[in-house]
Amino acid sequence: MSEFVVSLMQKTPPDIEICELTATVTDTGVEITARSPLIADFVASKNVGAHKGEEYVSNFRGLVFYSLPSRLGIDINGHSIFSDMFYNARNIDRGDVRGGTEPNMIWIRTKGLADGVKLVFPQPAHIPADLIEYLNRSMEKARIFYMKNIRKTTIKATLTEKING
Amino acid sequence: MGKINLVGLEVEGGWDGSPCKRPFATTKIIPDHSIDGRTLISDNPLTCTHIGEIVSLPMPALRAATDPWIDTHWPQHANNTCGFHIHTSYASMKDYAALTTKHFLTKLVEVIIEKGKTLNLPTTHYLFKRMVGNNPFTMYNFDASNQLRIKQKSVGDRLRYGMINCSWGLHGTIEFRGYPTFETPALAKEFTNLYLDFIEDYLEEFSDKFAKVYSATLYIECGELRFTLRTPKEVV
Repeated sequence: MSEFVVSLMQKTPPDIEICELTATVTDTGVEITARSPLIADFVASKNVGAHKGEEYVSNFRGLVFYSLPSRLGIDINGHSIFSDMFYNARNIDRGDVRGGTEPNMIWIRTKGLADGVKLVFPQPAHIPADLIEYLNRSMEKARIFYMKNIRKTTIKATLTEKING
Repeated sequence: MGKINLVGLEVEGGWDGSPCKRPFATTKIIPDHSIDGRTLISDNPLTCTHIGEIVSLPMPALRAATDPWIDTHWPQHANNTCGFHIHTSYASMKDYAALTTKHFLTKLVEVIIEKGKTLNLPTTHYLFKRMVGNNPFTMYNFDASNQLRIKQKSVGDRLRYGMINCSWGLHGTIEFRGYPTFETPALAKEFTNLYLDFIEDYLEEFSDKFAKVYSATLYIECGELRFTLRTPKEVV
């Protein structure tokens, strides 16, 4: 049984935290932080290959970003804020992988996810409606993401390991 | 140095003068459909030479800047349809966001009504009528979230007609639309300064309180997926 599955099974409810999202309004805009040590551990575990792991991390990032209310995601002065965000995300990735091998890349990326990925959207928000709406929407997407990807794979991996002894 | 960056004033009404000559050399009177008596029935139709709205250039949030502008440009004629709007901009988005809350408007209306009473304005004064919040051009209930994304004024779009208009996309400002065109420039100055001072005090007290962290956690409890949402205590 992999270390990830063991650690997941050893935890007693409600200790299993899947992810945490925070939103706050700062002097420069709306700051969003996404943190998921569980997904980071999962991706880093031996249950998923490098390619699949990358896909999970980017999917998780995607759900966090796309859950933003459209008014926070709309373009400013004709410049898409989503483009900016993904450009930044790509830059972070590039920085992470510089000189690294593929497994390292995943490790570094998932480390980011474990500690918290932070982005600032340079626009004000309507308090509290926009932030609550964002968190509700992204939690629902995170739930679907977990059910569709992590839980399914975890169960499959556990069964496989049980069969194989 | 205050939290307000710049101020812009807009006043609707009527000005005397010759039809062939603008009342102000550098400021143009813009036609305004909200005061032409067709959208909103007026109690005292304007019959003067020049009718419409004039808009100031952005100026510092100082009495020394706003008072002279009001003295120079205040209209001689007004009725129930005429409004006086104040735009303010901010260096910090945290400050801007604090003013999108209903909490801000509620407190502001209380302060304005109190001031009106202190000045012994009659109960039938346009100010008190507007503070009720059912004037179609300055509604108490407004959709701040959607106001923020408006980038272009369009005829028939009533979204911006809140007592507060979060005109971030249009001008990068918060617009207060609750004041009537006061009958004298002295009253206009009194209430302009009241509004600007109130914003400074409000932001000093509430800006940080509203900008606290909102967070949500997804977790497994007893085999079931659950999530919690945490908001600051101050948010009502």
